[in-house]
Amino acid sequence: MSENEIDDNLDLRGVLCPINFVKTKLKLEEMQAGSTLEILLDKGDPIANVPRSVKEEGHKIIKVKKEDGDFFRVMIRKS
Amino acid sequence: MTLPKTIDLSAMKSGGLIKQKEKDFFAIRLRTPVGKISADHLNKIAEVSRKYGNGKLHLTVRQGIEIQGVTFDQIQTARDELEEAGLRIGACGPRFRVATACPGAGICPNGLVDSAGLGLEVDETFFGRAEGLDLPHKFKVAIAGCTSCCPKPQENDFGYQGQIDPELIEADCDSCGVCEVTCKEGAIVMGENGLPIRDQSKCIYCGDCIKSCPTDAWVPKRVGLAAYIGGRFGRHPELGKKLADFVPPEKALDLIRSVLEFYKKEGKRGERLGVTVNRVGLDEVKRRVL
Ligand code: SF4
Ligand code: SF4
Ligand code: SF4
Repeated sequence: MSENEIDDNLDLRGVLCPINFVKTKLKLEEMQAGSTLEILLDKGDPIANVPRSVKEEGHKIIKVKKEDGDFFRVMIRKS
Repeated sequence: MTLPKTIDLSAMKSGGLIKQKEKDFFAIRLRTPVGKISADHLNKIAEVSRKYGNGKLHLTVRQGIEIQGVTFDQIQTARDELEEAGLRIGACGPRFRVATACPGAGICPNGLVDSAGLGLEVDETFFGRAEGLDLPHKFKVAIAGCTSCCPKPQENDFGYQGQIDPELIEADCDSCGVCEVTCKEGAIVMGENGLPIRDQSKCIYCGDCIKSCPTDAWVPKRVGLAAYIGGRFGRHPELGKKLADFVPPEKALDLIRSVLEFYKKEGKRGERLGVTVNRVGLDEVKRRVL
């Protein structure tokens, strides 16, 4: 997947649970079905919890990439 | 003080009445298994407290409610009124106490098993006289929905805790590494082939890997209950010992029953189960109850 296919993004590094999830959810609500959101999440609780909650809301996690500096780049397709 | 004629002394003996420091005052301990209670019942409790007590309630550490300041001659009337509304009275003394549990899988996102549902079943089955087995001492049970153990199953005479055994569907794995950083036990490392490798000896069966995997590559192989025996607080606290892993939920009551039968047979009067277990030895206990 190339960078161009990302419709929106959120840098959630340093944002604690569950605020990171709530921000993701609100952002997804603004977006159109089928579009792609990229979020950045810290390791630890954020990466353990946010993708799981997003998945439970019915969206699809299409890619997760570990980046240097202890954070993850997560790509979500809105359902 | 003269005893009111209506008082049922045998009902008093079944427990749930706690003498207060002030003369002639009692607290009524309610039976609210797993701490689950309806708003209607709460209203009723408030009403009875205002009518027969002093308007004050105590929330016990075991998810119970006690109505304080009821005078001796009002106890029976207060009890009748509570029971009429479907509320029941708790236990004290050498009895199987009201079962405690967390909300579990039905409510809590971390829940692996329906701890509250199981707690209600346990309470319904064993509360009070433990199916006629008069016990050497009190017997407390707590049930946790997952490895976080919020209701402290290891601090009870018997405890259950939900657990889940993960299995990897290799074809579904995206090699993202989320499970590796999610596992708090360090039981998962990413292998050279890009697939996670789980070290079973470090795994505590929490299921975090299953819940966090974006592609559902980790799946549950079995779900069950870890059983702990012989925990207690009080003057000489001791944590319960692991009795078994992956007890199937449908066998949960049977195992408690065997433990109660063992305790009834081997426990000395006034001895908590943990002391009995220490005396007999855990291996022998396992041989007898499993
Ligand atoms: S023990 Fe687990 S399931 Fe129960 S309340 Fe705590 S976190 Fe939730
Ligand atoms: S989280 Fe899932 S997809 Fe990612 S490495 Fe672990 S098993 Fe593979
Ligand atoms: S079940 Fe828990 S402890 Fe075991 S590998 Fe998965 S995350 Fe780690």
